[in-house]
Amino acid sequence: MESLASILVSTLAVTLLDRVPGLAFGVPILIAASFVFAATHHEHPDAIRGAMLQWLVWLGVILGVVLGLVLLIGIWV
Amino acid sequence: MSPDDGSAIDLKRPLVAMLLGWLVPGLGHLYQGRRFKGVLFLVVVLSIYITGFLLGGGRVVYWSWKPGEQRWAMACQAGIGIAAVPAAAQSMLLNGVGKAAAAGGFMAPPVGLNQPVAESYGRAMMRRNPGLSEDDFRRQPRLRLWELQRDELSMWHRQLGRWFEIGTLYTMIAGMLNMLVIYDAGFGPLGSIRDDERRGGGAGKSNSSTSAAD
Repeated sequence: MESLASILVSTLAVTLLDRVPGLAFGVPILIAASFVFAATHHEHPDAIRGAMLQWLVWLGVILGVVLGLVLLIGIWV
Repeated sequence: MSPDDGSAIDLKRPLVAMLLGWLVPGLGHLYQGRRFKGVLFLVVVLSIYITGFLLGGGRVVYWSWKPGEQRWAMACQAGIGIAAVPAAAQSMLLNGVGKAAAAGGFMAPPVGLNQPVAESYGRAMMRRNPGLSEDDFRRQPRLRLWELQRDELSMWHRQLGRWFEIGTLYTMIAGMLNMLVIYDAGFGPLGSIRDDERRGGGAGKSNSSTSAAD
């Protein structure tokens, strides 16, 4: 189940990167924001590392949904 | 108080830490002895800022409040601290008739249409913008003034294309992220004081990060 989800997510990511030029430039910002959000909520390195991954997933999912909606609207209109 | 194990965090003098954190990202944390976070903020925030600055050809960070040419992005970029200070200085140097920015126009605002600048600065602009020639200026030799007959900002947009926007976005986000870092230096980790403690009912009230600092 997890491997299926990871395949779906990577397929979606590759499709988005292909369809939206310049999307890759958002990735460093996403990683930096995740690091800063995690480090401003925790104090210890291990906790920061764990929270960073959680923030990365959250931000990625939220922005991915927004981008997906925009793309859908773009196809529709 | 640390949200991870409840131990107290010594914030030393929070205002000093916040000021240092504004000047250089992470410096406030290094001053407080929070080395891991200090180095992390320094590397992450400055990397994003420098990347954006370079992607934007070194032209995306400038201060301009001229009517019709307000640079609102600077409100976010200013959060990065000392790295954005030259932009404010250059804006002041270039404000007025026949003025010239220093250092060849590094972080200087774009010269507007018909804006009179010093002759020396006109020459510096030509070195900075390869597409610019002496024919693009209306010269007033007696006053040693040059008036640009084109809009420099439009030239930058044409030269840099989308990199101008991407660079602006990177530098803005770096500045905004540093504002969170400054907050962390002044008040400790977000959410470190539980709600019941904040209301005064918790046992850990006396160990809050801010009280430890004072």
